[in-house]
Amino acid sequence: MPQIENEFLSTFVHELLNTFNGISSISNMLKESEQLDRDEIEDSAIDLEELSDRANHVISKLRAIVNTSRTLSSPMRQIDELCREFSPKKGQLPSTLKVNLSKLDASSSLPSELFRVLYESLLYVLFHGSDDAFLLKQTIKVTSPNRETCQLQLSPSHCDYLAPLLDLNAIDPRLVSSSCFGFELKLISYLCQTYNIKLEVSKTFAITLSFDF
Amino acid sequence: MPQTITVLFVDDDEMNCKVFKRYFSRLDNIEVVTALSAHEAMENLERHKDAFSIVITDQRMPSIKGHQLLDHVRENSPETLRALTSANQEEIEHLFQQENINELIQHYFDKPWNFAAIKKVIYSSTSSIS
Repeated sequence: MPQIENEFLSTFVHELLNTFNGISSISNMLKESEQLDRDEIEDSAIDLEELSDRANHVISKLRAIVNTSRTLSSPMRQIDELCREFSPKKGQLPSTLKVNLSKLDASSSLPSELFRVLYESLLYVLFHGSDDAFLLKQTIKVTSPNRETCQLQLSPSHCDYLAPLLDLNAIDPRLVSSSCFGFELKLISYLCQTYNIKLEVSKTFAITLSFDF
Repeated sequence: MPQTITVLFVDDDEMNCKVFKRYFSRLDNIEVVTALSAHEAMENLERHKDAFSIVITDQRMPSIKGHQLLDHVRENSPETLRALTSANQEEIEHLFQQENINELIQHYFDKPWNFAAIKKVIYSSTSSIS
């Protein structure tokens, strides 16, 4: 397990507290519920469920680093199936941001939990600037190029903001403590160290991940 | 008739906006307008000049941070009360080391929110206007 830095934990706590803020606020509202009608109570229940899912989602990022046996024992699934399931669906991204799935290997499999956390972090970094704002335009082509070893390649159409990916060992700690972009970048670095994943970035910022399982 | 207090609440987290509006809109004489970014908030401030008694903004947002938005509010609507909220203690401690920051950020609310404290400040914003 890598030494987890304070800056990473700071943003982790921020994300979790932000979600907890919603849960706590709704709980407070329900406590003062004499004037709430049935619809409001039902809406609150739906929001609480969404917030709990979000909290679990944040926790799963840290758990992927600290609890390797749990992550590795998640169901093994084919790469093509995983890419289809965890790529953003229509309406989840601005219309100028796209993921194109192409030539995906149906013979290689990966632990689904590891894939999900890593893939979502990569997509975040490729779709956002370092200030966490969405890029104006981006298309990411996702392929799995090599059938000998289990590989995944993400090729972005725009790469102006991706310099930090070139050296994951030298991520600015201030970026990690002050943005989700830095946090997700650091998470990718930790996951690569923890699971011996080789991450190569070409001159055109095509990212190739090679898994050794 | 008591004066309506219009609050501009700014947070890039849609759920926080929804929850804030749901809670405070139920209280007497409070109207809540929400914005999901500093840009959207600035548009609202421009469109409804001097309509807001108080602006409460999250600190960590894409592009323009909360304290930068409050600086814009101070410049363009000096009578409006300015408050910041955040879930990141370290970032806030760092921010409050800046000189004269208390003149810019008149109130600060940690997340998770203490509704009673926020309510008290919102109701005080009418007296600050008059």
